[in-house]
Amino acid sequence: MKISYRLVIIFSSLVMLVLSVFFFSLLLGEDFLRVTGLLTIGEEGKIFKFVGFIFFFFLFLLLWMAGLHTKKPLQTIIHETELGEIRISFNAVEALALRAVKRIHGVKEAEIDVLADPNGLKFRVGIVSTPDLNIPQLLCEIRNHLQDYIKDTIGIPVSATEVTVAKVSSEPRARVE
Amino acid sequence: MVREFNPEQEWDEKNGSIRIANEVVGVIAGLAAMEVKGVYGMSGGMVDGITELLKKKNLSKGVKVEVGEKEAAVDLYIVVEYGSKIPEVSVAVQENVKRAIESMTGLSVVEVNIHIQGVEFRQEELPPADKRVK
Repeated sequence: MKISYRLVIIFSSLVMLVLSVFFFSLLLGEDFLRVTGLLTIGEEGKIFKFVGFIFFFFLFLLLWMAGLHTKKPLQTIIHETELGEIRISFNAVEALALRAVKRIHGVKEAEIDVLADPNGLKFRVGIVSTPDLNIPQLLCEIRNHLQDYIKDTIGIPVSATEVTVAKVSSEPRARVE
Repeated sequence: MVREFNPEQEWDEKNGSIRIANEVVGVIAGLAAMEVKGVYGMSGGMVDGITELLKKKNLSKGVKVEVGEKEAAVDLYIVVEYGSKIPEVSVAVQENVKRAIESMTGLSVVEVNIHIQGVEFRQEELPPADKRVK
């Protein structure tokens, strides 16, 4: 469990402890927090009641989120070596693949999803291309470059690359080079 | 006179026992990993981040160790530099960390697991923005 959620639960349990001690003190006829006078229906202590509502509602929301929070399993690629394991997170693979694709001439924007396959990695690439380009040639270049780059950098083969041209940018290419 | 380090002698009950703190092994592992070309830095969690905010240098950031009497196992969470070959860098880190811990502490390193958490791109590596003229 994340440490922030642990802190929320610890704090909430302390609040519950204070409340339980308060009610116990009321049983004994004592009001050590001096608040019973304010806990009445009426105009007295309106601000106190409002603050109390906000505080406990906020606490409820935090506890609810902490309870519902499920840790998403981190996807990694695992290499076994003699000295141990090498685990590469999918986030790192995505960042590398995105950088490789964006460097290709003709790609203005790109988005990448990485999936694991029994035969290697599968990439889904969505791009915004610059205008006045041969799109099939660009797609072929992206596939080949990504395949070579990932194999070279990570050591894992690419089983499939799906490239989609989401949009063609309307900005013209440079007239001079 | 310099006494040669003999692990078997040191573990002898007559002389007492030597226990090496996890933190010490963690610091050695962290420094050894950072020496390897291609490693940008160590990737820590929230606690490591707070420690750094308090201006305390955390040399064992991104390192988890299990230390026994004679053996150690290490997990390293690293960020690599863009352009480096990840398997090569990882193997180099494993070898350097194993060598450093074994030579400095006498512990036998049973495994060094590397977790690549991210890639760092230097500013020079960013592709130039599209310009109309060059």
